[in-house]
Amino acid sequence: MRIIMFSGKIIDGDFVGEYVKALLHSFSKSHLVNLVCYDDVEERLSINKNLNIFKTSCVIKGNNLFNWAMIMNTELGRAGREVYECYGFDIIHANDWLTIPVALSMARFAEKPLILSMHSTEKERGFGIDYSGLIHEIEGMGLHNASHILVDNEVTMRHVINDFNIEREKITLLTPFRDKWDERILELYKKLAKVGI
Amino acid sequence: MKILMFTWEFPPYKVGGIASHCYDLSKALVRMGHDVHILTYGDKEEEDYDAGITIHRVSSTQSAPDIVGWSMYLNQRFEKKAIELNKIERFDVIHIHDWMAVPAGAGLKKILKKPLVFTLHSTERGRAGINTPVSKMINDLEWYGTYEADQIITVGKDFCEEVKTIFSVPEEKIHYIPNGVDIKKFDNAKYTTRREWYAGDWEKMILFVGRLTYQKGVDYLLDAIPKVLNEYRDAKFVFVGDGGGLEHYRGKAWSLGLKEKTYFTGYVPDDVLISLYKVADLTIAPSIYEPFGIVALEAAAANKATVGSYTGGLKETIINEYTGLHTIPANSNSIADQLLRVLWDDNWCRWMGRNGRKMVEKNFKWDRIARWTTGVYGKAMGLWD
Repeated sequence: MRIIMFSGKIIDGDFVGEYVKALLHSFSKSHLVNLVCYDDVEERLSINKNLNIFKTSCVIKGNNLFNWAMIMNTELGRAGREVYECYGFDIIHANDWLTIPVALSMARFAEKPLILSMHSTEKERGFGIDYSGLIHEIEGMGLHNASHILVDNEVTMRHVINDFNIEREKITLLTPFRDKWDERILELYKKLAKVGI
Repeated sequence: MKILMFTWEFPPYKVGGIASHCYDLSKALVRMGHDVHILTYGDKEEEDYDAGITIHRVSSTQSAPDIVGWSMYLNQRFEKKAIELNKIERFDVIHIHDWMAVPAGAGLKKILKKPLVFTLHSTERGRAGINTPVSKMINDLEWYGTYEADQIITVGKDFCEEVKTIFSVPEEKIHYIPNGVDIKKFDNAKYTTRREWYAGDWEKMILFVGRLTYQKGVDYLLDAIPKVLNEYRDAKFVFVGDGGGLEHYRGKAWSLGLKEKTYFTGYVPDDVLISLYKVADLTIAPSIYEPFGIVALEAAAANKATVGSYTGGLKETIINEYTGLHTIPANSNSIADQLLRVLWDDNWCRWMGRNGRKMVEKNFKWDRIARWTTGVYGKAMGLWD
């Protein structure tokens, strides 16, 4: 199976960074994985024959995180299109609101299923910034349009169900790094992408 | 050609001049046989047809703390909608207008690999200056648009040089194509306003049209009015437009003792505006910064002369002493002197108005502008150099 994964900048020790790295390590043993992620520099890395990393940067710094992230998403789109042309993909996996815009665009463009990992919602994080409302709306856009949603804990799941009116059947709760969570995600990929069934 | 155009404003939603520009350009492109789709803002998601143009509206958000956040969210909606539309329509070119459409245009260029044309109607630097984080972000988006676009259109000759300089745009990808005027709109207008609502029979009616902002030179015009009235008492200055400065400038006029000699209408619909051009004696455009200067052309379409600053697009839309008079920008004495020259000579004023009309008919028709625009589309598509 061919997987494209979108994420923010991979930072060692950061929860989402470790989550993405663990999945890349696991999936690339037997599947083609392309990671498109934020970074400070533009770089293409071929880790092994099954794993490529497309580090993407943006010269515009933005007047706040939200506006910067929206422009970053257009740059991620360029890398996403490169993956589409060079490798193709059967499934798209996005992480949090930071990559929802590009993941939705790629899903519509390539007509492939989108899995969205919601590690937390803006409401859980406390609505602490003046553009929190926009982040909340982007989260809603992603949750409503994703083919399936992964959450890491009960709290996030409750928020996703209650704040965004997402049906329970569309959500899978998987505690990261435990109980063969990576294999269960792979099974989900296969089911959604109708590959290997 | 199949053309997808992004504009945040499109009739009936109008704030500045971009809505009218996109509408008139699209109509002309349709007359040439092109298939034009407009993607724009609306209260709700809907599809509409007007004059052969297919209009797709998407809504935005109530949660944005500022205009940039609002437009970023709208652009996300644009992008998703455009990807869906492209599956059916297979567009040849994407044409975006001003910074508010840049994120979607740039995103689609990368994902769909479609040629991108970017029209700049003005810059943040000229409109308000780069003084705040928001204006810096808008300036960055304007640069980003010029960087990502395959071809760029600017609406003024001087403005073209400005864009080239401030955004370091290569010569071969930037073009000057002026705005046009829909002359039929002026000739076929049915509504007639009553001149006596604005000025006395004995008074010359001098019309200002535009946003009431410093950039439009309203301060210098107000300072010039007492000088004009000293020598020519029977003049009335009618200010049409808002732009947030209505109360401020009305207050300033009154504090200068000009309550009886000025009239502030606020925003007026198109039919009233056209009628005002027709009943006025002449038009004044004292702008400090003016990328194009549509007011002088609209006045000319109504057979009226314009006294306007020798700056930006007004250098081209007024031919000095033939269709109007130029003034030194940001100089109230110059404004007063030139207004007095016209006010004292009715026949000359009317003659310049008639000349203006001929100039518009010859050089600023939308059909001609649409042909030039398709030339730029072809260049963006690689059809010719």
